[in-house]
Amino acid sequence: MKYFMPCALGTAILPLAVAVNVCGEALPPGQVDFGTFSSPSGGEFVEVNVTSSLISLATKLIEKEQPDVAQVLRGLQLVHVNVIGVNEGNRSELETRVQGIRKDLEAKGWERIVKVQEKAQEVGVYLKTQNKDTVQGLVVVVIDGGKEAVFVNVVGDIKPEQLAMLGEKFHIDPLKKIGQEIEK
Amino acid sequence: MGPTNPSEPTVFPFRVRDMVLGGVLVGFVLAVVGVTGYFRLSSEGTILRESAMSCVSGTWDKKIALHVGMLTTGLVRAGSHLFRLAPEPRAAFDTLRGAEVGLYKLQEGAGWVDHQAILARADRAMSARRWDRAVGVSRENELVAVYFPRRGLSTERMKCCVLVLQGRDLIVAGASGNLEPLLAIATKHLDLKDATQHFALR
Repeated sequence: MKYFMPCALGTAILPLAVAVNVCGEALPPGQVDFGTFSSPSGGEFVEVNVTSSLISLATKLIEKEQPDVAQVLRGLQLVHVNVIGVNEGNRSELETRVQGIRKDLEAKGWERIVKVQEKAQEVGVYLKTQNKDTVQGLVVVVIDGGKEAVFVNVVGDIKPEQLAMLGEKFHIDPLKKIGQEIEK
Repeated sequence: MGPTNPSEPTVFPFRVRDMVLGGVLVGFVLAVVGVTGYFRLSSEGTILRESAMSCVSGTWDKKIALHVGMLTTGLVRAGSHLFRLAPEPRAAFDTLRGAEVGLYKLQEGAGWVDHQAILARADRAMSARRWDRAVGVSRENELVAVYFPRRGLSTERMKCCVLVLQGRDLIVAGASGNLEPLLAIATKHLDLKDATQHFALR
């Protein structure tokens, strides 16, 4: 009988701890896992991962100089950019990957707000919102058949027209270019 | 065994000479560790170096490895206060808390360098130490990776580690510091610029 209480407590706490751990590992609603990309042989591969600690550092650096930009940065949790050079060896794999990501986003309730298709270039911009007014995340998928594939995920409250500014602040050229394209 | 006679003089297990010799030995060991520390990379730097080296079949030659830690930068900082310096170099001295750099060269005839394998290995090892890769760039025969600690980054406590592989040259570098003095200088210049602009508007 004297072991009953510790056993009961352990039985109650263990599943709770497991549940909390599982919840802790779940991605935020605005975050998308693009998977791992392998660099093409001799081709370009760029990965940028600006985490919350770096964002808050950047916010502190510019808050006096540019308070309005700092305000935007405060609403962000993660900026992730992948640029993969396209060649004959990986073109079909990347196209399949892009199709998969698009399907997955639509199935998970992401709204496609921009779709541009011209020649070999395809641009898709997706937004995840909560209650229609709070942006939880943004995804940009670009496949430029002959050159490169770009995958962008910004987690937090961001508008597509703020992407260029974000690219400029973090010196992420692909983000700057995409932002300028969207602004057009 | 009889009781101890209180009138007998107490015998210390060590004599003064032994203690002095022990002190000298400890001092010597500390000095050796301290001096060799200038030529050893930090644990993060070592991880990056090993990650790159273990993914390439070939022999690496060490060109140089230098590491200055908090003690040395602290001494330099304290020493710099004895001299009259302009605010900018003073801010630079006040900012730096530690720095390291290691240069290595891969000998001719080495195998193919798999950038992806290097990144994967370095990511795993650094992640175990709670460091994340912020940037990874691979282009032809160049590889750049930049790592930051996952937690505890602030303007007062900034740390980063960089791996650069260019052809057969490997560079591992790291720095830690307090950005506040530099920020103060930047803000001062900014205020001055703003004040000048407002003055011009009057």
